[in-house]
Amino acid sequence: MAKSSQKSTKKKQQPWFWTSAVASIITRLVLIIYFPNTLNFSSRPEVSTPLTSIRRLAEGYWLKQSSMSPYAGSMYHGSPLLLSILGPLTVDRGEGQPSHLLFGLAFVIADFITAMLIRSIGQLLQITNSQSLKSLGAGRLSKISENFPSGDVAALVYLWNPLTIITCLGYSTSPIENLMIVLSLYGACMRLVPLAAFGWVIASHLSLYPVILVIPLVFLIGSGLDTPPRKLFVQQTYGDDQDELSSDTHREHKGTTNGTSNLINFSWRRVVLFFLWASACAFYVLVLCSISLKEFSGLGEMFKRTYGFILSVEDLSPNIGLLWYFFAEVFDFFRDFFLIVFHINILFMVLPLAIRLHHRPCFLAFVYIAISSVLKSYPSVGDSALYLGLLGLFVNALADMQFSFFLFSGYLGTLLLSPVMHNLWIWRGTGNANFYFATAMAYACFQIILVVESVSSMLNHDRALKQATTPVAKKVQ
Amino acid sequence: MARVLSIFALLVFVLHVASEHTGEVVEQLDGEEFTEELLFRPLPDRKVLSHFHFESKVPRTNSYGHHHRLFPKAIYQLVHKYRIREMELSFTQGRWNYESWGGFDPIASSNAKPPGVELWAVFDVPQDQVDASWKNLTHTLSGLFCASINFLESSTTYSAPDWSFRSLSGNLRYGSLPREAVCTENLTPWLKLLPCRDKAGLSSLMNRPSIYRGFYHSQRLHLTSGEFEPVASGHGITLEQTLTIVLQPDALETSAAFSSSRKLQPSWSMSSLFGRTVEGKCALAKSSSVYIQLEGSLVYNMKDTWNDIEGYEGEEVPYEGFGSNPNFGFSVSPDRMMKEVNRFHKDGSSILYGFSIKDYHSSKPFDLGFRWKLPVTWSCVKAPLRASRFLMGSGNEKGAIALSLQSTEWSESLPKADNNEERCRLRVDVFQVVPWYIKVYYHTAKIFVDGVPQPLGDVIERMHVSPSEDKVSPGVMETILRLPCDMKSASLTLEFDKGFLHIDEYPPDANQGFDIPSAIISFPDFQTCLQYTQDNTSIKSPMVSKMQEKRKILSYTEVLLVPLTTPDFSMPYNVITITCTVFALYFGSLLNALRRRAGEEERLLKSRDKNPGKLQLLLSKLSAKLRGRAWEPPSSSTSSSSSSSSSPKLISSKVITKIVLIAAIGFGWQYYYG
Amino acid sequence: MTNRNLFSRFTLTIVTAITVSLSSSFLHFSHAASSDSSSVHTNNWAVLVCTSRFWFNYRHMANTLSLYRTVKRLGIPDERIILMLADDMACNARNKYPAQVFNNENHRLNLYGDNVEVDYRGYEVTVENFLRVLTGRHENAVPRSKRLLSDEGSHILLYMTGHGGDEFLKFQDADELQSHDLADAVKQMKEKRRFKELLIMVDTCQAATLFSQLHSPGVLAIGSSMKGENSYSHHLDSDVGVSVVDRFTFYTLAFFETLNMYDNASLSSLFSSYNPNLLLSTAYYRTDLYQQQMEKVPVTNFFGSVMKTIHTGSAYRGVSGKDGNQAKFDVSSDQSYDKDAKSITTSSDAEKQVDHPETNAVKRGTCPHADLWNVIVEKVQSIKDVDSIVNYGFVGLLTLVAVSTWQSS
Repeated sequence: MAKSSQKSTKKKQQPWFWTSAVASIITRLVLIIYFPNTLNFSSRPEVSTPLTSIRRLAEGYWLKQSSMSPYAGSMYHGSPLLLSILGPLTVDRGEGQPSHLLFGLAFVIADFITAMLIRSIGQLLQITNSQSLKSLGAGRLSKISENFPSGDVAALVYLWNPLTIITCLGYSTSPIENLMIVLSLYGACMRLVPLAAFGWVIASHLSLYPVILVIPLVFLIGSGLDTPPRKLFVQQTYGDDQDELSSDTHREHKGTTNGTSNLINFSWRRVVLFFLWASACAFYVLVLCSISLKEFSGLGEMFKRTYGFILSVEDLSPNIGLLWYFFAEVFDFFRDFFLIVFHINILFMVLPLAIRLHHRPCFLAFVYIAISSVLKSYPSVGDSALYLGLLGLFVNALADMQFSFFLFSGYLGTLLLSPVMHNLWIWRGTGNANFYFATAMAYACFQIILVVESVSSMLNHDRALKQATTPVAKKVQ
Repeated sequence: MARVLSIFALLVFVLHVASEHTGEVVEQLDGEEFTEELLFRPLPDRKVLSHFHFESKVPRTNSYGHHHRLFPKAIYQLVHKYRIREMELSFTQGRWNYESWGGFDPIASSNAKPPGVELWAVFDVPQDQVDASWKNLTHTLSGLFCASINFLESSTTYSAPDWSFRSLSGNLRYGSLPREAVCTENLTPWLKLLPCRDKAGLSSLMNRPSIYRGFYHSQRLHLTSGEFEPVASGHGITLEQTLTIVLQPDALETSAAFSSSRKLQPSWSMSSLFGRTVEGKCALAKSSSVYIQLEGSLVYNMKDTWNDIEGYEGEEVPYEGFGSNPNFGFSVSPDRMMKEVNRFHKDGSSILYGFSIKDYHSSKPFDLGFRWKLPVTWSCVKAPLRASRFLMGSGNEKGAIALSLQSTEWSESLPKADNNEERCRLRVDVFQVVPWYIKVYYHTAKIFVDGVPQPLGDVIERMHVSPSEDKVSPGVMETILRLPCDMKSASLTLEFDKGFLHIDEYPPDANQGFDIPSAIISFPDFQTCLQYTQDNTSIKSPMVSKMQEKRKILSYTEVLLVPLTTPDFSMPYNVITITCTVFALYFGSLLNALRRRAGEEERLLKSRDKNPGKLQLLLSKLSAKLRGRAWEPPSSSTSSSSSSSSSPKLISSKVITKIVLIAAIGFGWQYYYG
Repeated sequence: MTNRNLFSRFTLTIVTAITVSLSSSFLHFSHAASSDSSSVHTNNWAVLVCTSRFWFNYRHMANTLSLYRTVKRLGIPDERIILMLADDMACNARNKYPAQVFNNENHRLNLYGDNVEVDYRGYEVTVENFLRVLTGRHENAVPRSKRLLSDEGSHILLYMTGHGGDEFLKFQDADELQSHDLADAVKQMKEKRRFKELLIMVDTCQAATLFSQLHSPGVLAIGSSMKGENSYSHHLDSDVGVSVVDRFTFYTLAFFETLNMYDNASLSSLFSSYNPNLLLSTAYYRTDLYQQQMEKVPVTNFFGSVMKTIHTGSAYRGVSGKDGNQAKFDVSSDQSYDKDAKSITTSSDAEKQVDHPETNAVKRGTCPHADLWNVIVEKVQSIKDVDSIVNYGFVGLLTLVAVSTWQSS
């Protein structure tokens, strides 16, 4: 019945979904083809960070072509694989401009695939959600949650998000990182262990922070998709002891696919498999990197120049993060202390969130991504685009989120204000650095409030579920 | 006993005397020598170039010993301490005008220096010790010459050019400080290296105000040492000190009589240029002489003026004092005249008039004067290409360096000069050092020849780039360009991003901007040398031999001034506290949102205290967790859900208050740390 | 017979030479020992600091230079004067009189004479360098001419001028010297026995506040103005275009112009020569840390110099002999140097330099499981086109993942 309803919704949704998706792709292509240089987002500090800027990648490729280490001279800090895959696209096509078109196509495709993956993740989530609600016998809640096809919403949010479009036009490599992250999530949701491992390894190879996604991935692989807290199922099974066998067996038989059963068996086999695949992929990637760097300084310098560059915030050029100005102003004596503090700040939250949200791995992944994109050393709007897209997956759960309008207007305001401040500071010379830093700080505050609010409303949602289901249980008794 | 002692004493004494005598003998047969020379050259733009040249030599230590009469001890110790094979240090004020002062002659290519301080040295130490001895050398020189040369110590300021700067490399280090001020306190120690400092001889002309009033002033110290050559035949240390000044003679009596369209060049004399005269030579100098050089084009133009004034048909330009020469006259009749030979382009050949100041003394001071009689205009021989460098772009985020090479009439005469190959190409070496906070994208290098973009491959013959390392090393670019001879102009552009520095790395006057030291453009195809006929070869002049030795033509470009954005210098504390507040906001509020459930559980457990024991409950829960299976609670736990009924509304209103609270706490905490 | 005479004369000469040299060396030694044990006033040093940059602070440089000239005139040699000038006024492009600095509008006296010796100038004049000079904590490479090599027998004159405030003095308009820093530096100098007596003379606004933290004995402080007072410039030179001297320094110089090296005017007369109505500020003297009373102490204790010249007659011969055989020794050592230098240079030629980092980088990259890695790397060495290999490998990885995914689903 759920499937049928899902299908009906899909049939209902598909036309407008596909039209709008294709429209977004077409807008990207039009912008790429017809305004190649009039709006050059590639030099915007909000779009391209030292890690993801395409100019730096081109410089690294040039250095490599002229038989120097791509990391010689602190220009390029990305992965050597990107260099050898995207590098050939950057070569001068004679007329002076590197061929932006190919890049644009690559990034548009990456965006589209990401959106599709998000969509299917959303559909999976919805199916499991409705089924688990049914298994809880809270049919009306599931009915409520039917009304919004969260997958389509999330995909469209991702595709039509101006931040995504800007990132795609700015030729920064963050769409690829996003693709890898979403790919790993998708693989984990579909219980496709190798895919998840591959995506996770590549994502954390491209930028250090997705490493912490291993926890939600393990939860996903081990114990399936998001479900209401287990205690409810426990109560269910308890309440149904006195029931006749048929319904019980029937429920069990239905439960095999969804969350009710896997709390009985947290499948360690898959998790071990996942780690095996991950180590295999990591080894393979390292071998490829060492091959591509073989006549240069090798892996040691690669780690020093990529992860080391991320961890010790060396580049003080402005971005929408907080750390650049802080480390431009802080006294050298305290620099190391604050480096440690700020990076620990990300890790501190990993464990509490995992304990609290272990039954909702996808939401946990979203929270991790959001946190790391707020606090990472070189953030860009591409990261925000990703977690905003993922936020769309939980429209139903987060329906009663606080301050949503306030947050929306805050995002809008800061994102409109920061180019103005940057212009005032850098180009006009009439403002000073504090103007731009103020917008960056406001942006960080809004993101933090978003994270906190979503977490707390998700907890409220669980509570509401609990309230809703307990009378049902009583009734069954 | 006493006898033995006395014999020993005799032995000691004899040895002693013997050693002294050998020392004397050595000194006689080839000792140290010091020569002082001064060259004047009238410049086309009514200025006068005066070029002092002091050279002191000392033989090798192992043949000569450690004691010197003339050679400065400081330099000797410098060479021996740091095992310097070759070194050049120059303090320059103003910029050499390649257009009107010439770019082809030896003085222009060896004495036209970038503004500020330029230092390069070749060491005779193993590769890994070169940097250490360079650092020590910079400190020693800064003490010796009262300049802050020790800023060249940090590895972000000096570079190790590979092949373009000089042919010999490896142990070469090069650094320059464009903004270093040059003043009296730098000249004085330089003069103290001379045997008779500025008390006698030509150096007594150096009246500080008149020198520093000049348009260009470059004080250079170049030393080459053969001390560390393995073969014993190597020469000792040669210290060459030159001071090149371009002065404007105050033209008082010029063009008084002349009512011609062409104005008469200003006449000048030593006393009018320097306000002093020379009382005799420096007694310690082997030779001390003054030269006046007339350039080839000048002589050429004067010839045709003679031809149209009176039918003067003399190939030679006579030099008997006043009168006889229609164009100019000397106040003192020159002792000798040297004429340039085998100049391979045809317009005239320059003439060198030599004056010896042996027989002048304080009662009869030597005051050389030069008077023009006929107006004459000429132009110097320029460098093959006119090099200039400038910045493009606006704003403080990015920009581009452009190096433009314009052809001069000299290079226009090139294809006729060498047509041996069908397409003559002009080789240009570019050596440019860029500080690290100018992040140059070398893949954006573009070359335009006559405004047409060219593929790099067929213009750049060889390119060596060592990109800049943040806070470690500057970016060095060495390039060999092969430009077609018949081009009008070529330009090489490189884009760059401007870096952002830490607040401590800005100088006190950060808003003045940062300097990019000048690039070196050299033309190895062309050798500058002036071969003079030595009519009387008894006087061997080091300066003239310097002019005669072949060296490739160098020219320095301008120093670029790049403004960088500055952070707010005044508020590190505010930034630290506010940023930490934001982090505290994140941490505290999220933790608070997470731990809200824990309180409920406590309440739940408290309510459950009455029914069976909490301890074993926890134990069973724990064991269940360990077994990884679900925990079957007692049936009474169904009441938990009902007991845990909490209204979602008031929580959300609590969140903000808690956020603010945590923010305040975090503020205080971080402030305590920051 | 004659031989005997010769012998005897030679022995005499030798013995005398040896004794003289010995005695002279012993004299040196005993002198050093005495300066170690009891602190008699043996030498004078002067540290003259102009801390402010930019052309409109011309007068600060003029102050410093005129004091420099005064102490030189009164006999402190140049190698015992540390002169710090934060900017270059003499050859400044705005200076109408190049290489000349005047402290009076009748340009009678060029302070920037022919042999001025600036030790720290421009960007070198920072608080850090200043404190390093005082406390003597330098890098090894810093030359002697930039160090304050004073001992416990030395009187030091420390003159500072610039823009100051309440308990601070600005350096280069960028960073500040706090009164605590100054006091700590002086305390350190005292503990390291770097001075016997120290006279600090400061010509800034609120100069007196800079001394508030001093508590080391033997320190005497003169400030141009009390707290809350400004110290003004004396007069403006319309040719130079800026005001050329500060009042306090002007009247200090006026006092010293009347003196020569051999006068012994006392410090109290110097103090009494300051007239608040002329200074437009009240000069401040801090004398509580200083033992002797001012009437006894001549100004030349600080502004002049004490020269002890020890005349050793025939020291040169001994030295020359020593140098002679040292020369031989050096020659041999030089040749040995040449040898090994040559060998090393031959060994370290270009391609060595190239492939060195690569190899040890490979080592670094592969320290955990070296053997496997080396095998891989040796396999890899043969590969020509790296990028294509990497791309193929990447595609292979993708296919692998796809196949396995298909299998597992």
